[in-house]
Amino acid sequence: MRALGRFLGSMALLLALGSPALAEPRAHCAVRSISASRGAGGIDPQLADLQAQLTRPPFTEWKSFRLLAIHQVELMPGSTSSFALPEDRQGLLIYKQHLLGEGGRHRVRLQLEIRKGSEVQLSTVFVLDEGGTVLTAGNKYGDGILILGVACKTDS
Amino acid sequence: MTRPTDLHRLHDGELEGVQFEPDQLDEVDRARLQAIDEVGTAVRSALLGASQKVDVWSGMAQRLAAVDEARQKQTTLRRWRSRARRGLALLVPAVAAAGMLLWIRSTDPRVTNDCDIELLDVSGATATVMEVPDASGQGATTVIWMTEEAR
Repeated sequence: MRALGRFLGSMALLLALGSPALAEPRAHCAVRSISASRGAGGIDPQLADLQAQLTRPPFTEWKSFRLLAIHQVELMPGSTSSFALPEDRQGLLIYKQHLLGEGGRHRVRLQLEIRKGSEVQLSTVFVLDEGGTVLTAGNKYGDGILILGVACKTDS
Repeated sequence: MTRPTDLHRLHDGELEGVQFEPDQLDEVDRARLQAIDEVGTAVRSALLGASQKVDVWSGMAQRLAAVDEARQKQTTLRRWRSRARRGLALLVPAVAAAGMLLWIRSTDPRVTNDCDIELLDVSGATATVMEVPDASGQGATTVIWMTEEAR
């Protein structure tokens, strides 16, 4: 009975220590800039994990996908990172919060902004599963479009 | 002449109430009494001398010290066992709890792309949120699609 009490106490302590309220983990994020064009070229091998998505609508209009850059950053909750994007655009990634989803799944609340000069072309807040990817697409780039892929992992 | 047993009893003072007149003992009896006395004195001296040479205490003290040391070792061992038992009683449930949490977390290693858009603001474009099936076919990746307005 005493051992059961200690077991439950340890569980509670470990859960409390692992809870976001007490210690929010750092996030390791990667923002991939991808150019999509109509000319033949296929999918860059570095984008193999996105092959299924990039060969389905609404991306079927583009036949060539090339990785332009990867912006990798380590963020503490509440911190911001900016990065350069093609055609004088600037990206801004804000790690707002770490969350525990259903079944103890780690999630991150992020804000992504795309700016050109003083204009904020996109500002979005989203909650994403750890390791998952969200895509933004449509900004003109060359004769095609610019795609951004955002993914984060946490220390937890 | 008196019987030797009576002489011994007389020498040891065991003939209470029996009167012995000095003239009742002849020369031989007296000589025997003296001999008994001398032998008795010699035996007593020999025993006393022997007993003084025996150092009983030092032997006992050594044994007592050994017993004390053994007891101390036993007490230390008992204390260590008790502490170890107490430590294990705390450690085992803690390790079990940590193991269970790790197991719970590792039961679903699948990476998913679930994404909830909470806020979306665009300027100079229209935005559409759509979902594209991912490689597993079981999940979907969220795509924020912007269509820039002609200027």
